Amino acid sequence: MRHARRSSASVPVVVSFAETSAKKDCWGRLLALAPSGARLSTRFRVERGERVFLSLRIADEEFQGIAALATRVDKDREGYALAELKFTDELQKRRLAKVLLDILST
Amino acid sequence: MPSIGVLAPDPAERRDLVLLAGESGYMAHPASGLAEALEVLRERRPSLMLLTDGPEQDAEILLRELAAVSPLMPVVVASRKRDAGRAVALMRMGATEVVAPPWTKEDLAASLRKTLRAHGTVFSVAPLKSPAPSAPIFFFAVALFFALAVGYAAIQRQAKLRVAAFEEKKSWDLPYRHPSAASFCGGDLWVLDWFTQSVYVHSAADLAVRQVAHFPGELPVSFSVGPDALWALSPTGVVTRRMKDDTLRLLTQYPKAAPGGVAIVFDGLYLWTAHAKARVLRKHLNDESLTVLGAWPYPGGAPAALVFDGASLWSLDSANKELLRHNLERPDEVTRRVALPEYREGLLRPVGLAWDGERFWTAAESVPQAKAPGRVFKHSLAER
Repeated sequence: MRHARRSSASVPVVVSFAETSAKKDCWGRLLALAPSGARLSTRFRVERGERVFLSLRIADEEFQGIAALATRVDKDREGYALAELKFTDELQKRRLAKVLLDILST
Repeated sequence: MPSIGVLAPDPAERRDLVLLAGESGYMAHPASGLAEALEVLRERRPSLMLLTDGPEQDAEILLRELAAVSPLMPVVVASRKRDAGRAVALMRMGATEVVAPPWTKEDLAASLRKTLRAHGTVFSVAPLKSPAPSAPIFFFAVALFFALAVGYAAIQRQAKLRVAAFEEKKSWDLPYRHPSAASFCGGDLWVLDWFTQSVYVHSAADLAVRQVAHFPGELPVSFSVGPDALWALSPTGVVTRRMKDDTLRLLTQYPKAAPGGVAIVFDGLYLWTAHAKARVLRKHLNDESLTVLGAWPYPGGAPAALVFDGASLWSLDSANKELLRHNLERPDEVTRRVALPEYREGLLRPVGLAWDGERFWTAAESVPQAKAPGRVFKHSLAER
């Protein structure tokens, strides 16, 4: 089994913010996804230390509101925010790991 | 210039998008409907298609139709409403990017550029590695900072230990056997050795010899280093004033100014001499013949050296092994006596006295007849 694989298209994702935040939902794409975290590219503003919730679908599995913390945010050359996200919910991480293992083992 | 197709059924939106794409550096080919868009695809072979919702066909339908004709064509949807759910749904259908309203040149240009170099998602079960190239530099900088901090702390500690060790130490052996006089000058201890006829300049930090100068002419029995010049007294009573350079160049000579003198000191205004055989202290005017202004009986046993601490005249009494502080108006009156227990055993004879601004230093010759190296003692009056 390979430890990593690149899909043909990057995974689109809805990015929600905490209820206390006045920010509207936005969207972006995942450049990388692992059980521990993800790398998000978005045209919208994400700040370092901000709590976000990702909703996405991979391999016909729906994930709603994966809790994550933006540990680092940079800008790429197009001006997109490039956010390093760390997942914080252990159950969601386990479920993600299972789906990713399925993807990588096929 | 890359070419793009712009499918926007609304003429105003089409015009705006063509204008924005053109300003962003793209050759935009407008199309008002699906049929025109297919023609653009065939004729112009654009790098991507930019489309909006139409009054009859929304973006999902247009996207599906375009994908049926050209499945690998990247598509950017300019959405009229900010709706994250719909945007992600469009992306799942095949849109590479969805631009949120209001459509600005910056957003559109960034989205078009991004779309033209889009890649897939890397799936991994291993923790993600940060792509930031600055991370090694950051860690190197942190490591360097800590290394420098530790190094600096170690150097500081060594310096403190050295200073503490030096402060604790009270005496040092000299690398010569016949010291005869001592004086402080600019933080350095100057010691005269009569046998080698040399002046040894010691660093006050560790008593290491920094410089050795041969004393020219008749060897003095005593000397005093002032701010401008060095005063020396020879056994024949000749007083000389010399420059404080490497060769101790002679400036002025005063023959027979202090016959029988054994000690000399300049207090900044007057010159003082001590005479062992006559057991007197003399005060000289700093004129052409060093006129004696007064003479007083020496109140101790045998004067060996004189020093001025900025306020008082002190003498070293080699017979009684003590320091005497004299009343400047009547030097035969002693205002303080400080015993020197370092000389109690009688193995050393104090010959030189110096003041560093805080403490007294004495230089000593071993007896009998310099069998051992000379020694220097540091004396703290506060401890007595």
